[in-house]
Amino acid sequence: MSDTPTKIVVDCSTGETQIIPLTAEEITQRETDAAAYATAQAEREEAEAATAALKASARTKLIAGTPLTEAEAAVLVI
Amino acid sequence: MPILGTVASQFSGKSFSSFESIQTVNITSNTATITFSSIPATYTHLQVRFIGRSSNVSAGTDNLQIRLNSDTGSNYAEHYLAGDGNNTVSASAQSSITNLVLRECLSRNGNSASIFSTGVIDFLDYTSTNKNKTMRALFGHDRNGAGYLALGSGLYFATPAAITSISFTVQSSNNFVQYSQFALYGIKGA
Repeated sequence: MSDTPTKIVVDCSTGETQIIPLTAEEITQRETDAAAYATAQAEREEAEAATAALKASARTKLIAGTPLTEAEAAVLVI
Repeated sequence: MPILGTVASQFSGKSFSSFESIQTVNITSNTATITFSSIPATYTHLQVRFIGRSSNVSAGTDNLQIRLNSDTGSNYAEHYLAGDGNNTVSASAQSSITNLVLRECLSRNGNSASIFSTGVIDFLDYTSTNKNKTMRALFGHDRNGAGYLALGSGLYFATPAAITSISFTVQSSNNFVQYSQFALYGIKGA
C-alpha cells in the first residue's frame, strides 16, 4: 500500500473528480509549506510569550507603584 | 393589471436562483489537497463552505492553506483575528507570503472525536482582470469548553487575472480526514 499523499481535483467545467497521488514536486512543496508554517508559528508563539511577560511585569509594577519601562507601558496603553 | 397567476406563468422554467452549487467534495479517506479547477467565469463572486478536520494527532488546531491558480509565489497577504467569547486570543498579519491562510482554522484528530471546524470563505469579483483578488472568511470550532471564532482576510496580488482554480491544504503537512467537506458556490449579480 502506497503512503504517497493524494489530492482530489474537481474539474468544475465537466464535474469530473479525480483522486491523484501528489507528484514529487508537490510533496516537496508540501514539506516547504510545513517548514515555513513551523517557523512562523514558533516566531508568533515567541512574540506572544514576550508580550505576555511584558504585561505581567507591567501589572506587577503598577500594583507596587514602581516606574514602568517604555516597553511595558506600550503593552498597556494603545 | 395582470392577474398574479398570469404573471407567474410568464417565468415558468426560468431560474431565479442567484446562489448556485458548482461542485462539492466529500472526503472519504485522508486527502492532502482539494482543488477546484476550471472554475466557470459565469458568476460575480465565489463562496466556499467547508467542514474540516486535520489528521494531526496532537490536540489543537491547524492552519488551512489556500492557493489560487496554482501560484506558489510570494504573492499573498493575510490578516487574522480570533476571539474565544471573552477575549481576543490571537491576531496576526503577514505580507508577501506564499499562500492565503486561515490561521488555527482546522480542528485536529488529537481533539475529541468527531469535532470539526466550519467556515465560509468569499472570493470577491473573481473574474475581474482589473483588480487584485480579495478573500474574506468567517470560521471557527467549538470543543465544548474550548475553541473560538475567527475572521480572516486575504489578498492575492500576483496579477489581476481571473481566478480559475482554488486549492486547499492542511498547512502542517497533515491531511483532511474522512467526512471533511468543501462546497463551491457561485453567486450571480452585483
